[in-house]
Amino acid sequence: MKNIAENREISTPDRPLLSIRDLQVEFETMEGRLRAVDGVGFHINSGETLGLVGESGCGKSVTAMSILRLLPSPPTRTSGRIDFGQTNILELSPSDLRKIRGKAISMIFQEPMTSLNPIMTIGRQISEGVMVHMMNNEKEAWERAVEMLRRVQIPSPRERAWEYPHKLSGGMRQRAMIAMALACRPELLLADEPTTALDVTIQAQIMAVMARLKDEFKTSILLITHDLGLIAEMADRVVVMYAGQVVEEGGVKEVFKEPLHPYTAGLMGSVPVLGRKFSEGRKRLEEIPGVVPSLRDMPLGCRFRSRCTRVDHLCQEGAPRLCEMGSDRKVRCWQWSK
Amino acid sequence: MLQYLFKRLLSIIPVLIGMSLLLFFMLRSLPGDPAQVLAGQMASQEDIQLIRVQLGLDKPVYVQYGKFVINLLKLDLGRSARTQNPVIQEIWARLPNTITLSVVAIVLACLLGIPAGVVSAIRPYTWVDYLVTSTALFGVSMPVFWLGLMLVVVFSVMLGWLPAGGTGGITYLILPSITLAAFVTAFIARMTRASMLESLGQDFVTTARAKGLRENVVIIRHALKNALIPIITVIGLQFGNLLGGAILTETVFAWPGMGRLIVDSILARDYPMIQGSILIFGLLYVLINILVDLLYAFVDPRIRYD
Amino acid sequence: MTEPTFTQTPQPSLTPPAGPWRRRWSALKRNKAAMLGAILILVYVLTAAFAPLLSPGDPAAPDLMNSLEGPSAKHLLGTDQLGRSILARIIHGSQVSLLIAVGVIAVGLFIGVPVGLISGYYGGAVDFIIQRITDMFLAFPGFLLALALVAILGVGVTNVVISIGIYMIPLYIRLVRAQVLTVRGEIYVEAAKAVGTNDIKILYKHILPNVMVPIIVQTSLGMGMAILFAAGLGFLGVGVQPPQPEWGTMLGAGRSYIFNAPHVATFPGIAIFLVVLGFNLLGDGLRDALDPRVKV
Repeated sequence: MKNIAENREISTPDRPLLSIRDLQVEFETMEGRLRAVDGVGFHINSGETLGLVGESGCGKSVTAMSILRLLPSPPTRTSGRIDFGQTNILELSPSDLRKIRGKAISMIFQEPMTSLNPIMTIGRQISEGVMVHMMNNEKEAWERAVEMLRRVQIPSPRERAWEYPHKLSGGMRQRAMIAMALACRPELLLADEPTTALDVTIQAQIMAVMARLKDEFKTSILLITHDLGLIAEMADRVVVMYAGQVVEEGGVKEVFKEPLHPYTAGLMGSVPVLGRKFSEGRKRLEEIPGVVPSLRDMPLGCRFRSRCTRVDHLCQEGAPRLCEMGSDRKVRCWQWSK
Repeated sequence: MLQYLFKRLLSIIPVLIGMSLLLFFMLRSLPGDPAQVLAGQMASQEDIQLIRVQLGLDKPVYVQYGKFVINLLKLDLGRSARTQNPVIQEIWARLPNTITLSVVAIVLACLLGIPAGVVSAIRPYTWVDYLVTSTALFGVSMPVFWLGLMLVVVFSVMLGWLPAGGTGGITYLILPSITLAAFVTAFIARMTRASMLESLGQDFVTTARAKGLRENVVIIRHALKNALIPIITVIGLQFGNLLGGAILTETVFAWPGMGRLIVDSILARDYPMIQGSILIFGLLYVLINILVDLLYAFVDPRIRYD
Repeated sequence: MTEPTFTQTPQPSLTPPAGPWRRRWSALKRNKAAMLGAILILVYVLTAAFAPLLSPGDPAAPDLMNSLEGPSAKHLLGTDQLGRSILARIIHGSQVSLLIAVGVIAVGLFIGVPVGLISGYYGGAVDFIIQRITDMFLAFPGFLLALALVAILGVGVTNVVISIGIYMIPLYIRLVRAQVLTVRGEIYVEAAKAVGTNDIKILYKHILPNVMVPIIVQTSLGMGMAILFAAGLGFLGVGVQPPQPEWGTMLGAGRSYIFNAPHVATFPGIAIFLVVLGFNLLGDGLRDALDPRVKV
C-alpha cells in the first residue's frame, strides 16, 4: 500500500486514473437479493470530469459509494474490479482502504444539511481528516482547515471554522463539504448530486468553486447528477446509466449532439432549452412515458423496452450488449448492434 | 448559554408552584381534622388546639396557602408526629444516604448500559446483540425488590460474601447499588442501541468514513456523541425511576435513606414527615432534570447557542 | 434521492391514509417477540379467568402445621408463613394484578386520551393550562406519586388503581398531544377543516386513527408498568391488603423468611417478572411492527 502513489505515477497516461470493470452491487433483503448495479464499467482519466447521469434509483449513487466501499456490508455484496492505479480497491484491507479514503479519493454528498456532523465545528470536521492523512500537528491541521475554507470562498474563514453547521446556510455548508473533501489534495473527487439540494443561484456558485478548485488541485471529478445542464457545462465525458447498467458513454459534445440510445435522447428531450417555444411543436418539454422497472422484477431483454419508442422484436428476445461505436463511444441498444 | 440556563430556571417556577399546591391540598384532602392529622394520633386536645392556631386553620384557604409557602421557603416543614423532631432535621440525616446510593447506581448504569447498547448497535442481529437486548429486556421487566431479594439469597445467604443489609463499609453498598442500577442500566442499554442504530444510519457517519477515519473514531466521535443527546434526556427521565426504585431498594436492604423514611412515615401516618419527604424528593428530581438539561446543552451546540 | 422522476407527479392525498390494519396484523404475526409476549399474556389471562379451577386448593386457608415448607409434590411451590399454598395464591393473585393493570390503563386512557387530543388540537390557553398541570404531576418520580396518593387515599385495590392511574394520565396526555401536533397540519385534516367538518368529528375520524399506534404501544408497556408499581406498593405494605393474595404483598411478607425459606419470596417474583416480560415483549413488537418510522 505504501507504494500506491508510485504505482499511479507509472500508470499515467496510458492507464486511466480509475477504472471500473463488471461492477455488481447486490443488496440482501427480506424479499431476496436485489441487484442495484449490474455489470457497470467505465473509466476516469487523470484531470478529467466524468459525468454520470440517470434517473433516481438507476444505481449511479450506489456505484459512487462502492468506489470508496461506503455501502454497509452486509447487506451489500459487491463484486467486480475497481482499479485505482494498479490497486483493486475492492480487495484492499480495511487499513489500506482508509489510506485511500479522504486522501486519494474523497467524496461530497447531496445533502449538506445531514452530511455534516451537527455537533462538531466546521474547522474540526475538516482538520480531523487532515490529521489522519497529512500532518499530525493539531494546530497545523487547523490552519489547513482555515486555509481550505478561504479557498472555497467562505467569508472570514478563521471565525467560521469555529462555527457549528447549523449556523451556516445550505450553500456555505456545501462549500465546507468541498473544503473538507479537497483538504488532502485528492486525485479524484466523487461529487454525488452536489447541488441538487440547493437553490438555483447557489448551485451556480458552488459549481464555479468546484471548477476553479479542480484546476488548482488538478483533481479529477466524477460528477453524479440528473441535471444535464450541469453535465454540459462541467463534464468532458458522460456515462448514462439506466436500471443498474451503463447504456451510453461518450464525449459530452458528441453525446449531446447525437445521442445514440433512445433513453439518452429521451432525457435530452425532457430538458427545457432556452429559446425553444411551446409553439415549435415537437420541441416542447418531452416526457419519457412509463417508469423504471423495479429491481424486483427486471424484464428479460432490453430493460428500457417498455418505455422505448423504437422497440422491435430483438428487444424482447435478448439483452443488448454495450457496443463500441468508434473511439470512446459506447451504446447498449439493439438498434446499433444488429 | 446563560440565557438558556436562565430560561430553564424560570420554567421550573410553575412546576414548583404546582408541587406546593399539590402538597398543600394533599393534607387538606385527608379525611378528618388536619390539625388532628398533623399532631398525630397520640396528641392531646391542647396540642391539637395549639397546632390549629399555629397553622391558622381558622383563616381563609389562600392565607393558609400563603403561610404554607412561606414556611416552605424557610424550609420549615414542621415537626414529625412520630419523633417530634423537626422534619427537615430528619431529612438531612437521611438524604446523603439516598444520594450516595443513587449516584453510584446511575454511574454504574451509564458505565454498563451505554457500552452494551453501542456494542449491540454496531453488531445488530448477531449473538452479542441478542444477548444484550434480551438481558436488557429482562432487566426492565424485573421487579426491583425481587431482584434485591434474590441477590441477598445468592450473595448473602448462600455464598455469604456480602452483607444482606444495613450500612457500613463499601461492601454494604454493592448489592443495593446493583439492585437499583439494574432497571436503569437495562433502559439505558435499550435506548443507546436504538439511538446508535439511528445515528449510524446518518449521512454524517458516511462522511466521517469517507474521510478515512478509523472505525472506532467514526463510532465514538461521530455516531455515539450524536446518539448521546437522546440518551441524556432518557437518563434524566430515568432518574425518576431511580428515585422510585430507591424507595423499594432501601426497604429491601434496610438502607437508612429517604425512601425508608417515607415508607416508615406512611405506615405510621406521620403526615408532616410524608409531606416533607415528598417535597424533597420532588425538588431533587427537578434539580436533577436541570442538571441534565445543562449537560444536554453541553453536548448539543444547537441548544447552547440558540 | 429527491430528484424528480419524469412522469410521476404524486398528488397530495385528500383522505387520511387508509388504516392498513390488515398489513400491520401480518407484520405483527411475523414478529416472534410480540407473539411470545402475546402467548405469555394469554396464559396469565386464562389463569386469572379459570383460577378457581386451576388452583390446587384454597389460597386463603391457613395450615400452620405445614408453614414455610419448600416445594414438594403436595405443594408444588411450597407454602408460606401461614402454611397456605403459594401456587394457589399466585394463581389467584393473577386476578388482582391483571384487574389493577386494566383499571390503571382504563383511567389513563379515558382521561388522558381525550385531554391530550384537546390539548394538541386546540392549542392556545387550553393547551398551556393542561400542560402546566401535566408538568406538575410529572415533576414527581412516578412511583413516589403513586405512593403519596396511596398515603392519602388509603390502601386497597381501588385506591391502588386510582393512584397509579393518576400517574398514567399525564403520560397519555403527553403522548397523544405530541402525536396530534404532528398530524394536525396534515393535508387531510386541513381539508376536513376547510369543508367545515366539526371539531369533534375531525378529532374522532381523522386524528384519533392516526395516533392509535403509539397509544396501543404505550398501553402494552403501561400494563407492565402498572403491574410493577402495584406489586411495589404491595411489597411496601401499602397496596392490596392480606388476606387477598397479591404478588407484591406476598413477596413483602416472604422477605422476613428470606434466610430459611427463600422460595416464599422467589415464586411470586417470577410470576410478576413473566407477565411484565410478556407486556414488554408485546409492546416492543407492536412498536416494531406498527410504527412506520422505525421501518427501513
